[in-house]
Amino acid sequence: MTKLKGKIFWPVIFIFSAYMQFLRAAYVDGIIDLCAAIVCLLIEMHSVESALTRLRIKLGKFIQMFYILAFLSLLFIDVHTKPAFFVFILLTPALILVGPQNWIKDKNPQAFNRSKYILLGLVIALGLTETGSFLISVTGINDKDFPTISLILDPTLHNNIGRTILLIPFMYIGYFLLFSKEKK
Amino acid sequence: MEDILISIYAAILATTVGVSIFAKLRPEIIAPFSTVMNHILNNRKTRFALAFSWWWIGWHFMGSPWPVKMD
Repeated sequence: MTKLKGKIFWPVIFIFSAYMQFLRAAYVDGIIDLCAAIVCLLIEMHSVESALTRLRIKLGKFIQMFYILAFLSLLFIDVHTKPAFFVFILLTPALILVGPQNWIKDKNPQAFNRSKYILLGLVIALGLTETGSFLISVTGINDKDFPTISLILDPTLHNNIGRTILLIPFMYIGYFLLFSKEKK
Repeated sequence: MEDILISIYAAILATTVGVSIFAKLRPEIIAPFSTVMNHILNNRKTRFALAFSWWWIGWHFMGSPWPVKMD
């Protein structure tokens, strides 16, 4: 049962997300989410996993360099433009090639659990607030008093300094997710 | 209502930053988020899903040619 839950958790999340995107008529985003759900299911297959491992070994360094250069270029490109669109579309292969991580043993399980539950609580709080605002604004009940994060941040992203301030932590998180390795 | 909602987002962000700093200073009480994330990322599918979610946020905010509607 636990194994089945592990297999379907992320595909279900992405299918739900696709449904939400279709609700606001963002069909491209919805299709992207559906593709992510399919990739999640494919990753379980041994043949796919070994093919990705081979690609990762061959292209790992190249993708790392590409990642840094592509995102640095975004500092000089306005949002929602064709160059920004291509930066993100070209980065998709990097996500497919992410490598597995080694298990990190917890020296202090209590501190680890505390941190885990705080992180989970923050994610749930953010998720509920954003989903609530999203549903209220997308159904047209009230889109002025319940802005989503997108609506709040969009004016800042059109400003060069604002975009830089938001892009740097975004790049840092992405670098950690894609390329971080166990500290030895 | 808009101000309350922005305050909630700000409070979540402030808590995250505060806890992160505290975790860096006192890792014996709260483990740093990077340790928890490294543990979570051990699973290949979770790693893909989180990396995808991160990519989508960037795409939605910056890359997508279909910006959010501003009235």
